Amino acid sequence: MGLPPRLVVLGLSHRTAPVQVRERFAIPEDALSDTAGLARKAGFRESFVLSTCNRVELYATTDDPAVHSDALADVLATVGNARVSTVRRHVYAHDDASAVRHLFRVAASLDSMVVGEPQILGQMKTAFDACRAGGLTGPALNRAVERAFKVAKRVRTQTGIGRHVVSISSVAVDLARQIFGDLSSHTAVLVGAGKMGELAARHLVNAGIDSLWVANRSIDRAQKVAEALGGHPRELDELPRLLVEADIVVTSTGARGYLIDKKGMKAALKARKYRPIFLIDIAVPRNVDPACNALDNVFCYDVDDLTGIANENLATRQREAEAAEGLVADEAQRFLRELAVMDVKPTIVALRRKADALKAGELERAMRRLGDLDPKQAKAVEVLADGLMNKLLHDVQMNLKRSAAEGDDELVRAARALFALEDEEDA
Amino acid sequence: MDTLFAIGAGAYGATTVGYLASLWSARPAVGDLARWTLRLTLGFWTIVLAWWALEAGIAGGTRLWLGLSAWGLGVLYLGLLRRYPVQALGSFITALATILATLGLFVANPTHVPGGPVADWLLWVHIGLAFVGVSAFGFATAVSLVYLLQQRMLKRKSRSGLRRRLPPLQVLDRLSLRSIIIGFPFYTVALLLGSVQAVREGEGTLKVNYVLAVVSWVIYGFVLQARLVAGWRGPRAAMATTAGLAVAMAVVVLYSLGLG
Repeated sequence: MGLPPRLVVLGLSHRTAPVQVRERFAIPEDALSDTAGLARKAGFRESFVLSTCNRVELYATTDDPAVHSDALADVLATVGNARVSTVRRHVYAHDDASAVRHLFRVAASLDSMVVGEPQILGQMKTAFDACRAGGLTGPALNRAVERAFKVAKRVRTQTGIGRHVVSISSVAVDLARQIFGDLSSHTAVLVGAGKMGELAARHLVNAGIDSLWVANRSIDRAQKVAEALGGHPRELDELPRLLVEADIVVTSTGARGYLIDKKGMKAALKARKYRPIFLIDIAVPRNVDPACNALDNVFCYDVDDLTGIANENLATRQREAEAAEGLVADEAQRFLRELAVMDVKPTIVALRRKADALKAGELERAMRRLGDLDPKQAKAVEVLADGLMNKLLHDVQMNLKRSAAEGDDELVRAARALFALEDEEDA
Repeated sequence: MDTLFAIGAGAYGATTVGYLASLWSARPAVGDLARWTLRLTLGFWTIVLAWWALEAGIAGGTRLWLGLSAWGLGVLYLGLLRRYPVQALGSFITALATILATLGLFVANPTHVPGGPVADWLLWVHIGLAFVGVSAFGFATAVSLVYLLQQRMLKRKSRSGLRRRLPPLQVLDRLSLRSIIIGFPFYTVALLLGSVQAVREGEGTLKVNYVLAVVSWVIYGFVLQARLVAGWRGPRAAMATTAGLAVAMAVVVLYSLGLG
């Protein structure tokens, strides 16, 4: 039996490398398995590669003390067609307990650029499936990564880390849902065709709104944006009528002065029989008179309101992340203890096998010496031998498991030496 | 039976506290605990009400009707939870159930079955329909109060987590309207039967009870008309709904305590 496999990880992320470096090392999904194969060639027993827009990481296991994360740096250099010295400037490496903890943190989105973002878990699953399908992972890596997925799910359900949206567009959609509930029967109008407005409108489309109109001073531009968003172009002059028909209005024009004032809104409100309307004013200077918010059934949010909520949500996420860090640390400890207990199993099996062989030999000799025994007497001798062996080995096994769970492998080494288990196994 | 009613009212009160805690806490476990407390409370009340009905007869007096109304509100709420995201309504619904159940403890004559020129069963139909109507209005009011709270937070651009835990405004508005649509016919027929009883008894119609009942009916009739015809909605409709229930509850209180 060799030593238990060590988990090592080497990678670069938004924390250690700027985007121009990260993009150089990014690995397309269909090449993940090939890259993991390079790690195998470098002497690792199992490997798995994760590549997202914010990180590239190589996870691997080895039971050879001579193989370490430096070999993974060579793999990364090959991938990025870069010098190893360049790679070393931007990478981080972890092994054993630290690697497990890092893996769990990444899966739980604690190491993400936007803490708590949900995409990382899906990306990790896809990458892992690709490497597993390529036969590049094995029992140790499978166990660690699958546990990481479980920990990530626990973090999401037991903390509020993913509960609060943190971008302005997401906050706008969140607010729309708090006013209207299901958005599938509601219509939105994007007034102006600025980038921010377009982004907010795209979020609304993705959230399932019924239809989108794009009103702009230039109908050509309106047409272009509407096409990109799957909406319908409208003339800006139609705005009073659109205010009657649409439930969500996103304004994002460069106009100086209000496009929607209180008086116009009041008239529109009456015409729409006081159905609620949500005005999202992303423009600076503002396009919507803030006094509109005083009208019943009108909800008006400007860019500062949305940013304020997004920042508050971000702060909440950070607070929840602290709780999640504790949870991840506990889970990593538990996992390492379980691994240690599993690692001691081959020693116990070898010990048991050796004792069984000794017992069988000694019993045979004793039976020969004792001559003709009736079945009852023969059984009594066997029970005596079993009892002695079990009682002797019971404490040994318990102490081996306990010391392994405590991370102390001295006793395991001592047991293997005292009982000559290595010799036994080699034989 | 008094003790069982008191325990039942206390259980509604405890459920209210649980739901209030779930409004302020982001932990889903707090909401789950409140929901289980309500389920257990309703189970307890099912036994108490069945026992009471067996003991005092199906027309077992005002106390039975108050208990049934509170129970009906709880059951309706749990049913709605399966379809709408209205967990946050729990504290308002159970608070109303607590009030009704507590009122049951102070009923002047719990098992008294009123007699009069109109057949007894018809009289109980009147009381039963009135309680169904008031329960529906009670539900509409609980929903309206949550609406007002959510509307206020959205208007003030609140960053509180509570805003996220309250149901969407339009869901609340729709639920409130539907509750009034359901309750109004029951309340109307109850009022008509009550008038027949009063006229037959020769009491005239100017008893405070009757006047208040008519006022609450007018308020709900107006709310319904304004909402369905003029498209009235939002905070004004919510406030009028709440005002209507305040008057209707005054009728229930006066009747239960043998006043008016």
